Amino acid sequence: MHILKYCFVSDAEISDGSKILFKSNDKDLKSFLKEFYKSEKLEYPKFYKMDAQCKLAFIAAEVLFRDVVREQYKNEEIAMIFANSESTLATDMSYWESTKDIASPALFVYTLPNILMGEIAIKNKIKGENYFFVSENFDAQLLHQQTEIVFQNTTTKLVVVGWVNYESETNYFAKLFLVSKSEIGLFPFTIDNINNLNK
Amino acid sequence: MNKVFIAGSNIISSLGFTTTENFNNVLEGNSGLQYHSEDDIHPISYINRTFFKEHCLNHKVETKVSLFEKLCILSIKDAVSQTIIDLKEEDCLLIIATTKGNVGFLEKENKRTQDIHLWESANKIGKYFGVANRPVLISNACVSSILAQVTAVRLLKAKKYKHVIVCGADLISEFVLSGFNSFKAVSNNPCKPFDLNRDGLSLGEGAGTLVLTTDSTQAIFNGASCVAGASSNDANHISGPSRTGDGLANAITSTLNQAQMKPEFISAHGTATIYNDEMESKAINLAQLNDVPVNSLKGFFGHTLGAAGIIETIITLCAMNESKALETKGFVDYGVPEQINLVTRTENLNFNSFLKIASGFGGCNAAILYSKY
Amino acid sequence: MDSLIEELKIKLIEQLNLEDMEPDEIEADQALFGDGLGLDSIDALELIVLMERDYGIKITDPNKGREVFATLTSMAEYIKANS
Repeated sequence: MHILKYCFVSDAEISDGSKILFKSNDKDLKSFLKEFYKSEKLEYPKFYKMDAQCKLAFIAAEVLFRDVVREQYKNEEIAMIFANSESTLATDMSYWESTKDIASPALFVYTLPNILMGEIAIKNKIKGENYFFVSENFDAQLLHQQTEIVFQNTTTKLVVVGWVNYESETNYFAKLFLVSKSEIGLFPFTIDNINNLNK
Repeated sequence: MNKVFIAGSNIISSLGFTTTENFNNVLEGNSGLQYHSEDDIHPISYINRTFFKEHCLNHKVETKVSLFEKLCILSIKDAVSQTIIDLKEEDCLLIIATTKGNVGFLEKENKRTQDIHLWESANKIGKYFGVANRPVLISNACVSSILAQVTAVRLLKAKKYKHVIVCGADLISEFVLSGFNSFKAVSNNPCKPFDLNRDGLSLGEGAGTLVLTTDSTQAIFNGASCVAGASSNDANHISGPSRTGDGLANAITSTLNQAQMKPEFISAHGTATIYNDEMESKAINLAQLNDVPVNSLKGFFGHTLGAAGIIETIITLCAMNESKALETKGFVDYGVPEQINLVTRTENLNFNSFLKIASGFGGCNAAILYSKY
Repeated sequence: MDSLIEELKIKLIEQLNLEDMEPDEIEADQALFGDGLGLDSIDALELIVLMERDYGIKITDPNKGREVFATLTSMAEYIKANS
């Protein structure tokens, strides 16, 4: 298992590990991601409909899949393994607020953490395995173990694995890895590397 | 390759507090769906509400936990008590599956607290049993407790643990009920899976626990084993089921390829929404399983969300053990586009393997296969 | 009628988060779903919320919704007839 690419998003900064790809003075997540979306001319109107956590995951995945020869992999050969600590608490609170007037279906749908994998799947045509875990802290061992058993048991060749956590407009963090089953890549996909690769 | 057996099980639902109580009620055709018009819940729907508040009062849990956590604890306690497994051992892992856990807390006070976090529930449940390994929590919409079983069987086959306890649980809350209502997905009547006049789901609540083990000496259900499972994504829409069924068909095909066998029975998701049941009939046909007997248990339990996959797995394990094909309660007239071999009344049927399938928001699908072979 | 349609354009953009769109880009007789504006099933549910909250009109039958939300003109006509 090897890491092909990785991406970090926090404090209004997007990096791919080696370098900062985008930086904004606007620490507010929604404005900062919109700024990136505009500058990259992403033209994907569904982006605006997403809640903040999905936007965060979506942008990180966009960076991850950039330069990847997507045709190398069948849709069913790409899996997703995600985790966070908040589940969807921020959107849960917004949704519950909406029920005091009229419950909003567009908010309710985002009260499930795995929806962010659905958004990435739709954009990148990913039809393989998908699992969402909730743990108190970033748990490299859990993500590593899950990736390993998905490769062992299925026809998966590529896994998008990582952590996407949105607490508030100024407190958010995404850390995603694109992991290949092959022995070629930037670094071996090990627990140490998952923990230590940081900007 | 080592086999994964079942050492113990429990279901807590409006149909009972043990696996046997639940199975016997289903066998007798009793549904847990009742009309509720309590003030604390939308007075509009048939739902399965477990009256375990009373049960919980009779079964004290020493530490301070929420109703959701207590539901998990009581379910796990009963399942583990049927075995000689010690949750405190290093070779034992606990996996909790839920969609919304303690979300009902928001209804009292809409703010962020530590207690509302899903991992905090998992930690409290783990602490109660004194587990050696940190519990794993899966939250993946309506396929949560199937994914927990898939994860368990893979970890056991890879010899990472000797025993994995999987508990799936969810409560009905106004949060969840109002959300499904906003999707116009809730029926005003008891749900009618695969029926021509189906008009939505009935919500349910409850918990199910399976103790999975590689220790063959502890095997129950006549040595039935959990063979393999898989998940997939539709990559189509975040709430609407796929129009083709290819996503669910992929999860089924992946499972059958790993297991190298064809199932002799299918426990479908069968939520009784128009599009889910339509999609499932297509998926079953795409996977070329249209001749295999299939049922939906939602007419008995309602849709118990994160618990559905495991509760329905356990009931089907009992059915396989007793050679019974269980009816699709609520069904009257055939109403899905593709032909499937739907079981419409409970009858004797000998089958040696079955597939449990489900799909959920986010385009997720899952399948798991159990077999006597 | 025209002013109601203009009002609906603005509400549509806001309620459905169509951030990249300007009111002028939506035509009164353009199909809102399918190949037209490309709205989906969640948008349809949000339009039901909009009708109830802003115009006091309850739509419970999803099939009725499909009819009402065909175009901005049909929406405006339904509002006029029912409020």
